[in-house]
Amino acid sequence: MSLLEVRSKWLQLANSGDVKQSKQHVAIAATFTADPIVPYLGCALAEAGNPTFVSTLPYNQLHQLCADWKAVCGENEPNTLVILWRIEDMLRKRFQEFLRGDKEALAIALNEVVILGQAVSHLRSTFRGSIIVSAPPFPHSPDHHIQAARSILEAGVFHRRVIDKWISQISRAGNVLILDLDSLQRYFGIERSLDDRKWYLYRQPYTEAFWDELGRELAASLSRQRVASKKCIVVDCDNTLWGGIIGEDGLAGIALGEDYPGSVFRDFQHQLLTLRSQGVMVALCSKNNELDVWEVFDRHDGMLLKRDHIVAHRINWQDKIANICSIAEELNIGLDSFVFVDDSPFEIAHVREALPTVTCLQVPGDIALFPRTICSFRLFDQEHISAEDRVRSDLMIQERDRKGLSASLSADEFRKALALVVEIFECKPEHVARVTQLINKTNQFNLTTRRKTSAEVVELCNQPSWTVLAVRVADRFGDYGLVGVVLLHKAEKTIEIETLLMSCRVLGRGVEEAIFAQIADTARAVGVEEIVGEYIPTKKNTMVSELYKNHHFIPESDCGRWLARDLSAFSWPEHVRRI
Amino acid sequence: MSDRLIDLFASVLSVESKVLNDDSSPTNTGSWDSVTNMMLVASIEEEFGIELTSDEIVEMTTIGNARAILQKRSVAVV
Repeated sequence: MSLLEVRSKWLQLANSGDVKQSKQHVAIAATFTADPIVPYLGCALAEAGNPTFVSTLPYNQLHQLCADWKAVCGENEPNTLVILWRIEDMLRKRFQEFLRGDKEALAIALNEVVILGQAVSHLRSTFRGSIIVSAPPFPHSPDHHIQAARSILEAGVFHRRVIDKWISQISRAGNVLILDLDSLQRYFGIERSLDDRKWYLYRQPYTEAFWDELGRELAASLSRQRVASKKCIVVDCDNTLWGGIIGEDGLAGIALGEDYPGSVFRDFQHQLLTLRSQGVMVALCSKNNELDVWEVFDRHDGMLLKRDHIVAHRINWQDKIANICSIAEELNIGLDSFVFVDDSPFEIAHVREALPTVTCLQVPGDIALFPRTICSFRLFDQEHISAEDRVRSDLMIQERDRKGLSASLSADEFRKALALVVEIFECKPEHVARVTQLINKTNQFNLTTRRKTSAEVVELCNQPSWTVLAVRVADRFGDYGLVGVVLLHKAEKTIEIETLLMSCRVLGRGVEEAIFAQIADTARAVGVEEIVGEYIPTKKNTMVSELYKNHHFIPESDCGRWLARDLSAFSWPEHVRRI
Repeated sequence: MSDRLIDLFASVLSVESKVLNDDSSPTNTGSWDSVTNMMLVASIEEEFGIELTSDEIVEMTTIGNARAILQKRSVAVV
């Protein structure tokens, strides 16, 4: 669609019921005229299935907005505020002074950044919705040229210090998303993004093409808050992890190392290691002789990926569809959390056809484009990487050890031998990111599948009628981390379980009983004698359809609500240690 | 007869083509404000494949003026 068509489409959409009656409202405030973003952002959000009303706020009133957003926004309250600012606008004077040799101007500029940061913190504490702020782009003004000899030493230093200060201020505010306008503008290019005519005529710095880019990036950033990122990358071996076919070319014949084409495959392995460090699990699915593949892992000195990095593998001559399904079962995650990478157009088409929820990526014909292609999909992009993410693959390997133990013992003996430890506590600000992540990505052990943004979670933590509980689990093999969330709403005579979810990894070991015992304690503490549970079926959560039935609840009606009236039925399981 | 320029203005300003003519301007056309003016400039440039100068943008205060600018640039608008 051309830019002209996008704008016309928005004129129609903006008058449609979907947008007019949408509960979503994004308002944009900027240190420059930002109106041209509206059609591009609006269309991108509608395309993502999230029709949203988009408005702009009066130009250059960031401080006023932060101090009293209601006064600036008027009656039509937004639930997302976007704040865009640039050094050229907000710090223009200080920037010019700095370029002219006044080194103190930097300190004054940093102080102004701190003041804006404090204003955003104030906004955070008074505004319930999501807040997105820009990281200011590398300044480009008539006062200096970006390619000038001293640019990196002067404008570059100023920019870097301002960015560092701004990011640390924003991290302190908590729950404020950052839109990296700097990287966006660098990637798109200064020449293509700036339009001087529009700057001088309208105080509007950007070309329509850049507004389109910015609108789509902002829409993606908003969508990422509610859509889970991928959890596992399943890769083929021959011509994917290395060049050539190990069964035919042999250890000395495959391409992997310093030189082309081996260097491309080595870079792909680097990418896998980085993804692994961010919580993505790496699995193998290859039609090969298993011994041949492990020989490469053990003996080829170009291999960066080691056996220990692989959480699951299916190296055999069977159909890849069955293999991927069995990996999903082993890892206990849904197929829509998978990305499958293979060089064979046949395998890609085959998997795509049979498993439409798996994201399939084919290794490009020009192998040099492979690493960039993988990068550009941004399938694993997420704002927060929790401590749990960083060690996920290690957790899966601990899980294998547990399975070894469980095979040698009876179910009861296994439970005792695990030495489970469960801690259930009220969510504090430092847990919000992980709690939000679980709320948005847990599909299977999730009774109501109600997604929430981090701002909504913070809001519930602050409401006296709500209790936000987090569940941490450990056993003799290691720490599972924060794996469960319970949201309780206290009504007059009952306590309602609005959300109950848990990572499937800790299922069936007594954690559920412990959670119900804790909910019963909470009910007693607030003086109510009835707990109300709710089960909203989805395609993925059938595993918990009987959870309430199996834990002393009786069905209230056919509407999925369950009641527990006898609180004494709930007790902390004996084999689980309570912290 | 359909007029590409009038149709373009009508589409951006969300009005019917028949209410516009070469005398239409921000003073007599409600939806023609500073925001839609930016959209008009972008749409004219994209539709007719030209880049207007800053002075031309400033001069473009009526549809007739816009037509004169395009004719000077030898762009067929009808």
